[in-house]
Amino acid sequence: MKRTTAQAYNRAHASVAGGETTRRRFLLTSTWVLAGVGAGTIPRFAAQAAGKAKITYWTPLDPKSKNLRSEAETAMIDLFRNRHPDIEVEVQPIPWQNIGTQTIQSVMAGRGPDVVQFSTYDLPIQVEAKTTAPLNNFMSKSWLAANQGDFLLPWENTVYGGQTMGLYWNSLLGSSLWHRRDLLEKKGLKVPKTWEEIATIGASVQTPQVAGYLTGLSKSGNAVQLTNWLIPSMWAAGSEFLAKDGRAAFDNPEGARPLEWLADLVYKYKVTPPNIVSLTRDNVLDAFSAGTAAMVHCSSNIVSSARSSAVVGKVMGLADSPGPTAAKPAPALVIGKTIAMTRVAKEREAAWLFIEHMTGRGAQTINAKIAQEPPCRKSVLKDPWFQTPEAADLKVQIEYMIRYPHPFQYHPKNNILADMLAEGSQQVIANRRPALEVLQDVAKKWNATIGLA
Amino acid sequence: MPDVHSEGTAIRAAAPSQAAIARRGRQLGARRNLLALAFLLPALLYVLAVTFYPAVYALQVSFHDTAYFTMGKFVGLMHYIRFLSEAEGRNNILRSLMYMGASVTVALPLGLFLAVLLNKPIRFRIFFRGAIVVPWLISQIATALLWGWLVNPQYGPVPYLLVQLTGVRLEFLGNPSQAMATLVLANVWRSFPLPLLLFLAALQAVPQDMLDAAVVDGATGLRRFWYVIFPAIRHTALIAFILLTLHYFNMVTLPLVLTGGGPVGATDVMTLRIFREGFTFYRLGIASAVAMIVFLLNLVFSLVYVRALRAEPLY
Amino acid sequence: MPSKHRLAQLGDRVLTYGVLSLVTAASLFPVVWAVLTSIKVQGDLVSYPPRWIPTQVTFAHYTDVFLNSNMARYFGNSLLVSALTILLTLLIGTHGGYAASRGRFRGKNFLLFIILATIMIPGVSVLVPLYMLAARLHLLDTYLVLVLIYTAWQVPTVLWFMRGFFDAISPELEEAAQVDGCSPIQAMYRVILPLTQPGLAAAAILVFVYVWNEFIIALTMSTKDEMRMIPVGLYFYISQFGVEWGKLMAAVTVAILPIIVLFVILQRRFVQGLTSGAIKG
Repeated sequence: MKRTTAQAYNRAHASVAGGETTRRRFLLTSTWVLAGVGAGTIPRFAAQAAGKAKITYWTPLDPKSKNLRSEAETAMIDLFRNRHPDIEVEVQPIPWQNIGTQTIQSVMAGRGPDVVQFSTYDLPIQVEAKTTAPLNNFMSKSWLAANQGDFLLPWENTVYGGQTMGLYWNSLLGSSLWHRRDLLEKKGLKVPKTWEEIATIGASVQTPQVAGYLTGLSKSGNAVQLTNWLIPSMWAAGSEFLAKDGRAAFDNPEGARPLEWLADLVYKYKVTPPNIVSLTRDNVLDAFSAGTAAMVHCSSNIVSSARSSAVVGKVMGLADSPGPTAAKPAPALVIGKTIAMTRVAKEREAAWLFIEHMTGRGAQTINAKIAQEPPCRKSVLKDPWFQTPEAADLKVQIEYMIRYPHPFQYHPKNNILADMLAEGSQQVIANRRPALEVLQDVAKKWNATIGLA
Repeated sequence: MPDVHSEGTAIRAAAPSQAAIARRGRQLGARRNLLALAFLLPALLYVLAVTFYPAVYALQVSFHDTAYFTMGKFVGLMHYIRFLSEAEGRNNILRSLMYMGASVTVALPLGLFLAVLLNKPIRFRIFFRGAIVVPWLISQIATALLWGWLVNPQYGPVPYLLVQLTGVRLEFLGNPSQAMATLVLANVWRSFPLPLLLFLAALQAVPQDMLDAAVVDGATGLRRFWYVIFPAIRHTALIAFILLTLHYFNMVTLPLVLTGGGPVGATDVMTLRIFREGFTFYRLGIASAVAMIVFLLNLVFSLVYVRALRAEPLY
Repeated sequence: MPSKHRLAQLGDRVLTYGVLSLVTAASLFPVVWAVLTSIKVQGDLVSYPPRWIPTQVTFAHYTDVFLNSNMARYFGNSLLVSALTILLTLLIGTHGGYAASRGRFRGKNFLLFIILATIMIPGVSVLVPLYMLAARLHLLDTYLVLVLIYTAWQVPTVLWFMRGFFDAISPELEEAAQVDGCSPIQAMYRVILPLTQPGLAAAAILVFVYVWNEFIIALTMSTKDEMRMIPVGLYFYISQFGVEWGKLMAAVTVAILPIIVLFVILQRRFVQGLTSGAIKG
């Protein structure tokens, strides 16, 4: 042992000279690097040209990206820049899953964007979190007279405590029935008009590879795949969703019918696989795009994603969401993303002008034509472009929205409710619990959560 | 500071007595201990500086009502009681233990076994090492999305191959009883290279002549492993055990993106509950309370391991 | 006797290569799927039956990722933050590991346990206070805040890991050096530290992979696009309109490359540690 120790020691000693210089070099380099990093921490102050107001806009769309929606929004913003050369707009893309949370965090810390584009369900949450700025002062009587009635969605939806807290950035149809025209035509079948028909037609067209009907009950993404379909289905069955004070109104036999129907699809008609308990909206979109689902309920904002599929792009069709009877389709769940000003915005006038512009006719027309986004304004629909074949998908969905509307506003705690409903519907399918029982449990929990026993 | 060289020469020249050697040993030892303390303090102070305030804040929040990241009134242990008394909370704890237990049970022995194989003088060793390690290099988000696609019953290649080859139709993430197994599988897939690397580094420190001597003595593979290799890497095994346990118990991203806690809460581990309560429901109070419970459980696990470590001879 | 031994050797070799090949296949299976997806044409990405070999090959996703997004910038950010974190972590952690191994003072184990305890708090629960603190110190959207946090969270691991390496080196080496006239500091730097190179290499890889793939802190601490790290860039491909599989897989494929390069480079240090014979004695 002694001999080996000495050997090791000598060998190590021999490398001492090299070790010394490398260590010194290491210390030197790291000092330089750390200094550089230190310099990088000095906040970068944007060079402000004299008289230029600067606003920061948070959006889920990356301006650098080359997809249609980003291009549309960039065009909308460029139009604003041309009209207002004295206002500088800095666009920051934020992942859409995080934009609500990040806004709250930012505003709480006293810093934050001036204008934000929120998801459909986010504005009520932001208002509760007190991050938005009231807009009434910016809207003159004449402006209101000219514009208030022009919005497709109810004006009151974005009014909280008498103050408008945001404007709709687009209109969005929560769910319409996507179907494979080729599969239906092959069997000589027509597009389903009732829930019963979805089941029977689904059974006819389905194969081991292609499910008759598909949906997703996952909690992710605020369980939008589930709630976009469930809420209007409850209305169609004759139940309300929530009462005016937020109390659950779905814990009755009518409210239970949609989930009972879904359970039948899985276990009685066997046109829907039981693994829907874990599918997200993206899974449903991918399955439909790959051609493994004949019919799905999906929202208007991802129609173009499915259209770009080589497999189903040309053979998919859109139809009004069927109701329980052939008398009329289910009411359309019409929602929309919102654009709002934060309460930490410094350049309020500039921020308002931006909001006004993005929801104005010019920008909304661009959004519709380039990104296929249903506009938030009725007057935009008068554009002859909407009668062209290009706008066919939009036309179908917008007509549905206009003909069968049902007023709907998300509750400030809608994310908790969506979570409970997703969990409940998973139990209906996976554990085969009766739908009414599950909904009664959810209603009890929900009422307790919002403080109404 | 005394001149080391002259002192050293003097000692050697003077043919030192036993007492002198012992005294010298104690002096060097004391100086070394002082040095050790000086080396340890930066680490201690640094980690405390960055983690102390946030941890104390989280603890404080756990005793208060909260609304959207602002603290409200003091509520004592209400959040803790609520978490532990509700079925959901107990499910969270159970799922965390299942997830961690199953993952460690598979990943640790697998890592060791492969490290032993990869330490052998085989051909293409660098290729094998590089290829086997790749899963660990991929971020959890990418792993979750990849696996989500691979095992998707509607369009994923794995269920498709399974049906083609065996006719068995599995639902993987879509079935409550299969979801946890699938999650653990994905987790082991991406994390087994970590214990593998730790063991590999440790095995390479095992003196080759000890291994050779064992072969000469006629020890077979298993005997060789148990009596020669294992004692040398026991310390690494315990480190790997602790690191993996803490890593799995605190993991968020993979379960969040792969299963979201479902279906029907089958994979709803405690960290997912923390994330959901904190960032989806904005109920920071209960989120912090659950986090404190996770912290306590981690402390318990580590105390058990550290006690085992202390029983370890250091050399 | 010789033939039995030869048979055993053959069996051993077959088993070894067999198992390693199987495990390699299992490890690479999803990765191959990712790489093949990254070169599939847009309309073909999710198809049924699932196709491995694409009918049409395109590199459009790669050009898209690097020309039509900030991914190149994210790469630079990740590289810088990783490098700095490795430096700082190794600096603090190696010294701490030495102290943990060699030190004999009262309260040492207690202090070590405190250090370990700091990583027992789930990261997701300290996000908000960390964010507030960083905001107050004007450290949001900087590289420094990321380096500071990542270092703090990796030092305990590196410390315990390096301790193991110091433990494996006999104290007699240092004592011999000190008898020859080195101070304890010199003994540590000149004699002991070079022997722990495999440990330093492994620790560097550990830290690099952690920082390269860390998501939650990177997402929370940066709202400015220029300061983002790679995993946040990947997150954007889970868009509101479906997962952009082509671009995501292209970005993932490219993201693995630097780590593989680092791994291959540092592999040699492992071997160097062996051949130098210092530890083998």
